[in-house]
Order: sequence, then C-alpha cells, then structure tokens
Amino acid sequence: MATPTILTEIKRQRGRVFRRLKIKRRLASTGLFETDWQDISADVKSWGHIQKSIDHVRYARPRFSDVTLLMANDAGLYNPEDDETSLWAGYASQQRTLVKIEAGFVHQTLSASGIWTNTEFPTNPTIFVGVIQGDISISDDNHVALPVKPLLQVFRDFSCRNLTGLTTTGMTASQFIQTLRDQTDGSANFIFRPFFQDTTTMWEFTSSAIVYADINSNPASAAPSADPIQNEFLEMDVWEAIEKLAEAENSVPYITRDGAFRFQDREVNSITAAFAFFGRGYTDQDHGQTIKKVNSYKTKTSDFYSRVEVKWSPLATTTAIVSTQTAMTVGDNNAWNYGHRTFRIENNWLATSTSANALASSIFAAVSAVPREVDFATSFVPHLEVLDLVTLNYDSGDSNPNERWDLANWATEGTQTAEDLFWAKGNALNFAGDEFKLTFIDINLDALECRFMGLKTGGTNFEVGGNTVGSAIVGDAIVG
Amino acid sequence: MELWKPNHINTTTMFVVNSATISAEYVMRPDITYQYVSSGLADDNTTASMRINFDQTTTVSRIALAGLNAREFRLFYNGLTANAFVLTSTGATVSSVWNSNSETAMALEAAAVDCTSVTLEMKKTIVANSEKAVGYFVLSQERLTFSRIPAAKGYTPILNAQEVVHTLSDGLTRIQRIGNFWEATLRLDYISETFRNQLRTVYNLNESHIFVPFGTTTAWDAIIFPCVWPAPFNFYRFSDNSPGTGFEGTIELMETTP
Repeated sequence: MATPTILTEIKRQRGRVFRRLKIKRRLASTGLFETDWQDISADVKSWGHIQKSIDHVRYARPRFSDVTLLMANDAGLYNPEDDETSLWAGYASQQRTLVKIEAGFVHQTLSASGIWTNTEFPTNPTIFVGVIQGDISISDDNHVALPVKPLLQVFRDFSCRNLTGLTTTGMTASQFIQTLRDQTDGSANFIFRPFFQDTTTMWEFTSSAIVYADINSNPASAAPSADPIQNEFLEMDVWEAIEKLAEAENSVPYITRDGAFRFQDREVNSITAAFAFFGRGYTDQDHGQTIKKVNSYKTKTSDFYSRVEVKWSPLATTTAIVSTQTAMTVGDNNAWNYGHRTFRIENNWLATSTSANALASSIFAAVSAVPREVDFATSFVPHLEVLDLVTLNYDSGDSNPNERWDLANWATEGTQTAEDLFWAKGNALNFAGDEFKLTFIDINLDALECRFMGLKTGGTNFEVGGNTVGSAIVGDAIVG
Repeated sequence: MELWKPNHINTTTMFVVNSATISAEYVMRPDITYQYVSSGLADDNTTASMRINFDQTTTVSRIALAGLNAREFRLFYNGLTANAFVLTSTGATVSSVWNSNSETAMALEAAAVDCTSVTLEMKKTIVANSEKAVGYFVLSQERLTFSRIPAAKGYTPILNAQEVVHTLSDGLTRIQRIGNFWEATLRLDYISETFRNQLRTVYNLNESHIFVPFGTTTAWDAIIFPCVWPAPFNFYRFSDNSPGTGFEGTIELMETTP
C-alpha cells in the first residue's frame, strides 16, 4: 500500500473525513484566552460554508464571508455567559471567543498488536480561524446559530486613533503591519497577537520602501501637503487602513486558512501547482478524479478596463489624476472589441505622481488583459488557499478537439481530402493541464464539497489584444 | 439483552494514567479506532495504569472493554489490587484478573460494588511487548434486563454511517464517511404487564442509556452503544384479543453522544 498522503486520501474511493470545531474562551479575570482549545464538535448540527475571495468581485477587494454554525442547545451550553449552564459561565463575554475549524482526512490502520493509527491530512488541518461576533439568539428550537466572523474582524474592531507606536513622519507598509503585530495596551498585553496564536510567525509580510505620510499620529496632520482632510487615517478602523494601504501598494491583505495574517502581492503563492484537478475524460493515479461539475468557463469581459485612473491628490490640479490607457484604434484590439471602460481609484495616501503612475501601470497590466475564469465544483479538497496555482484537466466530450477553422476549405461531399475542412464535433470544454490562479474558494462543510474559481494564467487564452502593457500610455493626466 | 446506565466515565478530569494522558479521553468514545495507547511501555514487564476517580461513591456492576490488546490485566476498585470485582457472567475468570486473555472485547457482569475509583492495569499484551491499548471503557450499572428478548425478525441492529456521496463529472462515485453510528429496532410481543411497566419507567427517564444486546466475555460482537429512545411509547397495544396474552410494541434506539 502506498504511503498515505493528502493526495491518496483525496482520491480515495471511500475515505474517512473529520470536522472539528474548537473554541478558546476569554478569562473574565484577565480578558486573555484560556490555554487549551475546547472541542465542541459534538454539538454542531450544521457547519455552513467557509468562503473567501480575492479580486473576485472587484479588483483589490478581498472578501471573507461569515460562518454560521448551528449548535444543539438542549442543555443551554450556548446560553449567555451569565447563565450558569453556559459553557461561558465564569468566563468573559461570548463575543470575541476565538473559533477554529479543522477538517480533513484521516487514514486509519490497525497494527498486528491491536493498535489503531489515525493519521490526519492535511498535516495542519485548520481551515478557518475567526471570532464569535454578532447577536446570538436562543429559541425553543433548542438550537443556537453562532455567528463567526473571519479573523480580520479584530482589525475592524479597533480604531486607528487608539494605535500606539505611530510617528509624525509616516510609515512604510511593512512598518505599519509590524506596528500592528507588536501593538500592546501599554501594559505589555498584546492587542492583536493573541488572535494570531500569540506568535510573530503568523504575521507574513515583506519589507517595503514607500513611506506613507498619512499614517500619522498627529491629529492635525494634513499629509500629504495641503490635504484638506485632517488626518483621515485616525478616523479609520485598522482594517480600513490596511485595505487602503494594500490598494496603494497593489498588494493583498488576507487571512490564511490556518489563521496567519498575510500582506503580499497578488502573484501566485508558488509557481509550482498546488494541486491538479481531474474530471471527465481524464484519470490520474496520483490525484484521482475530483471535479464534479464545471459550472462555467468564460471570457470575463466585465473585468476588462481600457483605462486606469488613479486620483492621488485631492487638489484641483492637472497632475492630481494620473492614468494609463489603451489607445482606442479601430482594429482587433481589446479597447475596440470590448469598448472603453475606466477603472478608477482614489487613494490620497500616494505621495507623488511617480508612485501613482507606478500603481496605475501595475493595475493596468492586470485589468487591461481579458481573463478567462473557470468556476467548478469538486469533492472535498480542503488544503488549498486563494492565489494557489492549480491545473485543470477536463474533457467535456470524446470527439477530436483539433481546430481546423480557417485552415482549409469546405469540401464537397464525397470529394473530401485531407486539406479540406470537414465537420467534426468540437469540445465545449477541454482543459489539459491548463493553469489557473485561485481567486475564490467555497468549502461546504455539510456537503463536503468545494467550489473554486480561478483565472487562467499564461497561454494564448490570456489575451491582451493589440495593446501590451509596454505600449500603454502612461501619465495621461486629466485636468480637474 | 440489557440497558445500562450512562457511562460513569464521562469527563477527562476523572483520569489518572501513568503515560499518554492526552489519549485517555478516547476511551469514552464507542469508536474503537480511537484508543488510549500507552507511551513508552511496549514491554511486558511494564504496567500501564488507568485509574478512574469518581467525585462521589458510585455503584459499578457492569463493565465493558473494547479495542483491547492486553493479555495480562486486571480491574480493581478503590485503589487496592485486592479489590477485584466478583464476576457473575460466565467467562475465563470469576474475578476481574486475567493472565492469558485473547479477547479484544468483553462485557462483564459483576456483583455491585460501591466505590470511589476503578483502576485498569494492563501488563502483558496479546502480541508481546506492545504498547497497551484500549478503545472503549464503560463502567456502569444495569438499568433494565429484558425479561423477554425479541424474535430474530423483531431485532434489527443497523450500523449506519454519516457520509457524503459525490457523483463525479463522469458519473462515478466517491464516498466520504464522517462516522458510523448504531441504530436498533426491537419489536417485543406478548410481554407481561410488569415488563411493560418497567419499559415505561425507562422510557420516562430523561436520560440516555447504553444498549448491550448480547454482552458476553468471549467472542463478543462488541455491539454496545450509548442511545436514546425517541417517541412513541407504543406498548399499550394488546398482542391478541385476550388481554391476558400480554402487550406488544417497538423500541427504536438511536446512538447518541457518549
């Protein structure tokens, strides 16, 4: 028998899976989390969905959905903390309780000595970390819906004006993230770190160079110069500030499945495919067949923009807005084919037109191409992350997929030659190791089904039309 | 065929083990694929000890062990090895001391003992010099011994499973199993009014039970599971036209959390 791995378990014809729900309550005396996780899996009636996406609805907008867990409450375990039957009796509020969901496969073997070995895959089975946040209603149905928000909620619940360690000269993105990581209440109690396993290793970011003067502790600060909004930064919650910063840096902030905070570019996590999906028409001994249905595959023209405008200064000057655009010429190019569309960003944190131009160019490079997006459902594949590179293998039919259009002439019946065009059924879908970058993941923990969306990377389908990034017009300022 | 009271082993704070503390809680689960497995004791000259402390004096008269790999082991109460249980079920021994066991599961009936702790000491293993393991450990007391058992056609134990069936894109099937659970249907005919009233008393309890259909000390099928008895109670139906023939009805038992 092959050594069990995540791949052998995913493809297993009849495998065993596990799901676990654990919580850490906060101690009433200190407000800190208890040491050990409490396993409350046995009370779960419905697990719901875990869903997250990056750039799916709009470029530069990560989205993480809430998870709603339906719990059996026959004994009142999920009543409020002031009820002595509650699991939280003697602890701090139910709100902001740390929640962890683990799921994966378990490979079981019985040895000759009568001992079962249970090996779990993936090795780190955590697929979601969040906090209880929201109204918890009790009804005579004897169940309680626990509202769980993704971990980024801890940033939403903290105002920038309460941050310490800021300067009056601004910060780089990496300095700001580091400030969050090391944020304390002044008494050596970390503010955010306890939600991230109380360690610095769950904060993943790289050093950056651009200093943002707007990240400023001075309430009267009006950076950049002549900004009429007095320190907009201090009016934000921390997540708003992170999103603003990510937009300026053309980066992505998100929470990984095991609960790490990551601030990175939007390139694939690794150029080596994290998983290969196989579906109809394909078999693979390593990965097995996992695709249940290809819901759609499309040229996502709605994500095409022929022009990117970045408004970086609030001043009414000719240089306040910079843009990058495709020349509108009649021909086989994207602007002509799909029409003129403008992607607008307003980010006053950019200090110079140079950095604004650089941002506009970066965004233009991404949105001026017309991506191909695939949406497909699979059996349980729990270990993938957004921005992972995956390959798809799927053949919707069994006929010869070779394209002969425009290579030959229609033949007259009965006189057909090899050079003639003849009727052959084409495939609606035929992926053969095509690479996609995952931008959307939905894990249905009740049905143990996953849904993925990904953008095709490389290949001829990733068209830029007649306008490559290099030929774009950069710095086309608009007055006013 | 018996219904036992819920397992007296019901919280992790009851355990005192001399190794592998983390896995001790597994013995509360009926799923024997998760076992307590000793650590660093893969030697027949060493002893793995698991003591269950009760927070008050507790009566023990029924014991079940499953997923067991011990050859030489013993059970005793109140911390004294001399306090072996007196077994009333037919088996290899009349006291709870085994020297050459080969069974991996056994359901034991014992003379009732009021005690504050029970200890399982495992020394030698069936395959010599292995770590000691036990998958399910029940300390309980009988709640109801069935004075009449169902006919073969009236007894349906089912090992069901919670699982997801995926239909893949080419029509093939993949199954992902979350767990197994037992269900049992017992149809009883011609039972006495006394037995009917006993069943009603059990039905009226707001408690779970442990169902042990055919517990034995040798070659046991290890069917034992904590269960609840959902509505209805339908044993007020006469089995025949004459009321003196007795009553009939059906019990449905569904596995519950331990």
